Amino acid sequence: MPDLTPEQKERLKDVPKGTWALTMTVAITMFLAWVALYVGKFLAQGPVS
Amino acid sequence: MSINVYEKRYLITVSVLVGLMLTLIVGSFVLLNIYPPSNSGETIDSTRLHLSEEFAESNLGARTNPDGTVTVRLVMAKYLVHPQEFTIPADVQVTFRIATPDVVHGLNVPGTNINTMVVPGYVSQVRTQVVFPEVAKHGIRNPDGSVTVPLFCNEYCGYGHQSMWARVTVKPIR
Amino acid sequence: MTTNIAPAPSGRLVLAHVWVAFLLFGVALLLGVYQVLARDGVLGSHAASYYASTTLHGVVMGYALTIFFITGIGYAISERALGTRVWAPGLAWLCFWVMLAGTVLAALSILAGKASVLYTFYPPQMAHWSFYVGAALLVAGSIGWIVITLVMSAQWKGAHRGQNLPLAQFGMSICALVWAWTMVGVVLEVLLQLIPLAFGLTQSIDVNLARALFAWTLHPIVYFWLIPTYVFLYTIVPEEAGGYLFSDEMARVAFVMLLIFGLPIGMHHLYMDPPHSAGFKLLQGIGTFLVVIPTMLTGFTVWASLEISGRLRGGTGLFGWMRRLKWDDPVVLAGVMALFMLILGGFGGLVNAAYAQNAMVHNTQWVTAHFHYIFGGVAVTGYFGLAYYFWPRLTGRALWAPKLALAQIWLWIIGMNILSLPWHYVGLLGMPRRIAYYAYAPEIAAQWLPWTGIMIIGGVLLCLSGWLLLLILFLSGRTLPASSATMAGGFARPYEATAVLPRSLNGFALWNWLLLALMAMAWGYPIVQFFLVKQYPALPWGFS
Repeated sequence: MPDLTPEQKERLKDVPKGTWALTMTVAITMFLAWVALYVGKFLAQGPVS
Repeated sequence: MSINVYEKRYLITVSVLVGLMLTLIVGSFVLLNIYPPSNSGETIDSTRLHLSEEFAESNLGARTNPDGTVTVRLVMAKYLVHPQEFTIPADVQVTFRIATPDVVHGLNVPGTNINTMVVPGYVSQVRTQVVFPEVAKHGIRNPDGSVTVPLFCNEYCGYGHQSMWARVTVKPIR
Repeated sequence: MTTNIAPAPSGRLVLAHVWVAFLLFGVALLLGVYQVLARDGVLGSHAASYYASTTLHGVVMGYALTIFFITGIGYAISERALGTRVWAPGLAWLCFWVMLAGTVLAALSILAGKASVLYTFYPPQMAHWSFYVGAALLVAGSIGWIVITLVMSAQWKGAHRGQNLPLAQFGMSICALVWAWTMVGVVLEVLLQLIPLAFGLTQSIDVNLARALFAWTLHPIVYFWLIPTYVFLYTIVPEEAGGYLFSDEMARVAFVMLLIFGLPIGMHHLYMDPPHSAGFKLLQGIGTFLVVIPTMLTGFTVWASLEISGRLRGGTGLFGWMRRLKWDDPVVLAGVMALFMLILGGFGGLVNAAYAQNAMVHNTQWVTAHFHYIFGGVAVTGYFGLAYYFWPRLTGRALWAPKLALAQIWLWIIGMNILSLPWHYVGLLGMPRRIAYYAYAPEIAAQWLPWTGIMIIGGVLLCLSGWLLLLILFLSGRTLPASSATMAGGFARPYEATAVLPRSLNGFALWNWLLLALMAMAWGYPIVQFFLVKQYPALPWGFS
């Protein structure tokens, strides 16, 4: 751990909750958008083989 | 090696989401018989394509098979799709068989999943069923209720690539 | 972790590489503007010019800009991370000249209209032999950088037994290994198939073998392009932003995963090709989804590092810390923007990778959109950040007009979005890629036209941004001396103390062996099949 003052440690107590919220939002949104395209456009256009 | 608890939760979530996507993909393969077109067993001598019986000009285009399915045979060569126009029914299994005497081409019909590479040395084969409402979004409506959509060569094949295309008329099954 | 304030003894070597890279980049951007105008019919229809332009644009962006920039900045990163001089600078300079000679040869061939085979040079369309020889020299020259980077790592580890190889050097060593493994495919194709055919030593070519070899290279090359940007994001941006690297170990895990998952999965470029079975394609598709994980992991680790900086600078709340990031620092801005573009670029990639879903987008403009986001939006934005970071340290002079550098980056990102977001949409509308203009029925093209018109604005903004970069860097070599605060300062320090790492996260032998096994599984049969099953080779063709 780098030398942090008590004030700095206090400021950092929520790390990485913000990142977690951001990345979870991004990951879930990407997943839902992908499913929408997969079902709504790809599968809708007919089978392929 | 320690990993932060939020990073670990995130990684698990991402792995689960990836797993779900793969489940949908593998499920499509196993349950719906959906997979990318392949034809690994069927080589052909592109330099002697002109001698082929199957891909002779009189045999090209759409033909209805005895079992009701349709087979479309095409030759793609710089810079024409042969034949330039053909008609297929919607909601019927259509199998495309394509060969080339020269370079790599590709074919794609918007509004469908018909998409494959056409390479010298192999016969390309792709099977699908065209869904009329989807295809209608990308084509021109004809007076008789059918829709004409483009079939593009979608792999760069030289200076004429941008004008290499065909017209596919899709008839709805009523 | 030690902070290395090494001087820049190899400044001239690095600057030579980076200037070549960025000057070629400037030319390629002009070609891009020409292309976006031509496609919309604004300049009339001239297919020969268009395809020559696309070839040069692609070859410069994908091979020349990248190889010159990555090797050059790689020397700078290695020196700074290890506190030692570049090993064998004579070799580095020799390779620079070989790479330059190759680039010039290939460029002349393209400009003469003799090599309009695009940057994927798919046979049996054949270019003049000078194109392939030039390309081979460019790639061969870069082998020097691979050797130098790995020797520097080995020497440092020998002199610092029991210590962790500094993360930036670990990342660049992985980059060197990725490039070494990646280039094998295209080198085999060029040396054993294309050059003999171009010289008339053979009369025909197995096109499908060539495509398989090229596909070997075609995916992992993007990790060669991206890893220097990831090194930037992990080891430079957190420090510049006033924070700490959230996790040194997870950074190493991500680099290793990129190496072993990124290399074997090139067959997704062959999803639509007949010779490969649905089964092999499925295996490759699953592998492609695995490589999503280190990319997502990088997003978390780097964002967490930025969150540290944002909160230390007074930001609070779940998202409020984002407003307190050092938005007025060009290096930090480049990092944040690269991460942002990775979201859309990654999404395009998910669709491309999804096995049969590839049929929805293959060879449409969706693919072009995807790689412009990843290459232009992520990798190149990272290169801008690296350039702005290293310029004072290489020249001893302060960055000229840092505010203009901020504007340059914003212009780039806005331009890239205006260019590439509509590209996704017209791709879904069926617009094929690599077409010089619309020769289809007007009703077909009408669907695409409003969007391709808007995209012209994007192309122009990108070109302005790129030339602004050149101006800034040129003038930065001539103005005020850099402050000692700028010249000092090292790589990002880790948030958690790093214990001595296991050999697996500090060395490469294990991963190279594992990769050998994975490559054999992934590519063994798909390539060998062309020697086991009777093939009918194709004749060479011109491209006109």
